Amino acid sequence: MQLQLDGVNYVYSEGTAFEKKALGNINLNIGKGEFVAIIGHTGSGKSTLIQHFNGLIKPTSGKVLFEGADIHENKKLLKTTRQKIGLVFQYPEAQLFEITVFKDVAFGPLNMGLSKEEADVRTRNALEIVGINECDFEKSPFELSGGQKRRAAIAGVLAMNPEILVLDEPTAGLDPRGRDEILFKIKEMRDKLNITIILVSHSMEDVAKLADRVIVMSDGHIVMDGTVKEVFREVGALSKIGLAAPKISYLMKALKEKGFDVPIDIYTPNEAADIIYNLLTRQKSKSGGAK
Amino acid sequence: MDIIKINNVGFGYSYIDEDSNKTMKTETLKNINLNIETGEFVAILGHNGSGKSTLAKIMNALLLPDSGEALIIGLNPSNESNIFEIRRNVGMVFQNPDNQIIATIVEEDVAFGPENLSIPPDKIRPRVDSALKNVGMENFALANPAYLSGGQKQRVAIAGVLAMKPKCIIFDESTAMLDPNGRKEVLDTAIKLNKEDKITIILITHFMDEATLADRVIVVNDGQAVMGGPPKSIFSQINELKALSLDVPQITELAYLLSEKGLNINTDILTIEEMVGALCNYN
Amino acid sequence: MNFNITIGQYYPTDSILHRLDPRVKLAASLSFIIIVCLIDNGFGYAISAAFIAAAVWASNVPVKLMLRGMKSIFFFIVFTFTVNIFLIPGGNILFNLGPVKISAEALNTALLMTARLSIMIFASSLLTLTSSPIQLTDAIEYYLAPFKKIGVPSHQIAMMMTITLRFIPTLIDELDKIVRAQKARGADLDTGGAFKKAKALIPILVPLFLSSFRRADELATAMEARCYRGDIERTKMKQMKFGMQDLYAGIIFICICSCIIMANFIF
Repeated sequence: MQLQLDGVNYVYSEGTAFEKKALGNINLNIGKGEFVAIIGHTGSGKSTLIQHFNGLIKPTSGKVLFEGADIHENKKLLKTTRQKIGLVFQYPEAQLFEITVFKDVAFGPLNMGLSKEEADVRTRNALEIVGINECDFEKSPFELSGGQKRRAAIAGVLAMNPEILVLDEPTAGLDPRGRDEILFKIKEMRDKLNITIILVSHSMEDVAKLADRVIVMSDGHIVMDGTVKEVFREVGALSKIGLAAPKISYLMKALKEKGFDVPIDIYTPNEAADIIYNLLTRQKSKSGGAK
Repeated sequence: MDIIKINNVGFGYSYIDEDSNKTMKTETLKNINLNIETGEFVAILGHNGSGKSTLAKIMNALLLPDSGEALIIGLNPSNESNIFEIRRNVGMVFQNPDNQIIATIVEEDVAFGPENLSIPPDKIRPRVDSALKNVGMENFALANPAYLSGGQKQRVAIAGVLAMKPKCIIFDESTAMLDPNGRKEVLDTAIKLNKEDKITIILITHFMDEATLADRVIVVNDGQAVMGGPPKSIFSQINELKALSLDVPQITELAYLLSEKGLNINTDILTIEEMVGALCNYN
Repeated sequence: MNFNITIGQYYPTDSILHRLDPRVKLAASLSFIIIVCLIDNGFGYAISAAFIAAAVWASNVPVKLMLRGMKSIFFFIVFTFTVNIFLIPGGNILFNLGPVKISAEALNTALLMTARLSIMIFASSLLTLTSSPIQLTDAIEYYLAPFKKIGVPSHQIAMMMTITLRFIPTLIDELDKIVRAQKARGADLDTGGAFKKAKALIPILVPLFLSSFRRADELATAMEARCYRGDIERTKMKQMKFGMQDLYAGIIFICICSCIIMANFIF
């Protein structure tokens, strides 16, 4: 397994009046090339969990293993792990600080101790992947549009050539165009770069479109872990912890209750359209044949 | 009666052109026309840079039109003596919950508006209490806003506007930074204020599902109002919306896909119930 | 990074001190601190310390919490004591610690400074522990009001203080996020010399300043939208009231201060 969490517990402000258990007994394996979505409402422990992945937070007990090695074993290992597991925070454009877009993206690779030439190559690649045009490289990052800023910030992490890319709510606060661009780029990254992607999202529709596997967090625990189909099928269990499945799954369930012969593990409009179309035309041809 | 009338309004922001070193003006609003009726619930859609936030700021006299005329609650904001009357009656809730709360105690923040309006101290207290009750935050009157959730902060901001007893509230992407629960809190409050207190609501949003709740949707693009009508008629124009880089609700998209395939189904379906109904009655 | 700013944070509870008019508390703490700085007599300090102890008791604030909040300042007190005791020369040598001589004058000054500092810290934290930031700014605005005529923007100063207090937790939160984000990009904030460390702060401080400017801009718009226009005809929901208990408290305070000052002259 590429990334493994073994009995991880985390307690905030241990030993003070504000002590709060944030994560309880997390066991998790993520394999190379997987596209995993983590869902859960605010305060469920998602953000704390992903910060364990690259060692920004050290578990109170339990182990985080990257390619079999405990990332907290020594400082050097922790440093290399942070490079290999790239973490893009919410509203990542808030960390832009350099004079030019190019310099900002090069910050990570230069921190890794790469030569200037090498860092340049990586920076160029990363900017290309996220779709920033060369004519914008020398612009101030603050001149870019909202969606571009977000993509430049993602490039800043991507330029470190991570083997796992963790994105926390990458589309939050963007308009539909910005959202679509980012999601498209994420899909492209996974297909072209063949890296593991872990996506934290509130948008079940986005999760349904992109992920293979869904992990559901509630109250500091993993309460569900399965394929997209397996998880979104559990509409009742999801709503119990304050989450919703994509709209289309509710529709399919309602149709099923009305006696339509449709599968309920469908969650994108395209799939639903095919199924409903086939069902209705078949019905029609049947009733037509009887006439 | 129209609470807001925007006639041929043009507006631009000044900037210095790097090449010529001259002061230039953007064309953010281009002779835009629209009316909002008293008591309506209107959603305004448009991608970033379309001019919708500028429009919102014209509506409560934070910005003044360069050309054309705005009439808000019957008053012209170009006349300076009208500005405070307009702002008092057309309140605004902004996007970032953190950047609109001024005080360190919830009730003192809610009192901020009435205090600015020179309301006598003993008359402020009942306004604050009833505003907090109206948004369901009365148990947090003495809390520190910094430690509230996003949805709760936005409800405090709404209470702050309500304490000025406005006729209209503009939500300028007030749900954009919230999680689904917070979004629901804010939307439920907006709907309640519209239905029960008859306050005109203008909801600027990027979430199409939120816009389906409105009486009327206005689409703004490139500084002009390009589409307008009930949600059903707007969202059924799926190609036009996509051309303006906007989404449609998933159920409407499904209806559109089905009709594309040749099924005889209305493309103005917005909700699951409508879709189930349409499919049950098919044939 | 660990940000501990519990010192002097308002402790919401009910006590005589909490109920007092903040103007009385502010004036009393300030004058008390000045008096403590001026006297140099053991009896005076004994009375001051007893008074502070009584005030702490009356404030209903747990002593433990007060002391915990002062931890960071404790170091400063010890430092002051050490510097004074070793560095002040004097003829009357009490004892020798190797090459270091400790004189009676030095010990005297060191004790005096320590007592002054501790009493000052207790007095000022009592003020902030028992009065909310808003009450304090109101009190400051009240005292500055007479200077408005000579151009002191008393309302603006008070408003700035309120907003600063409001945004401290938000900015600390933001700072924490930026630090984590830059760490995730391999920023090294802990090692290297002073120059390298200072340079490492740029990726933290630039985003923090930029976001503060943006916040300030948005906040100004939000305030304008809520009809803010400075203190022109502005009213206040919460009025400060000077009541009987404030009068009694004031009289008791003046009596105690007189005792302290007299002790200084008599002994």
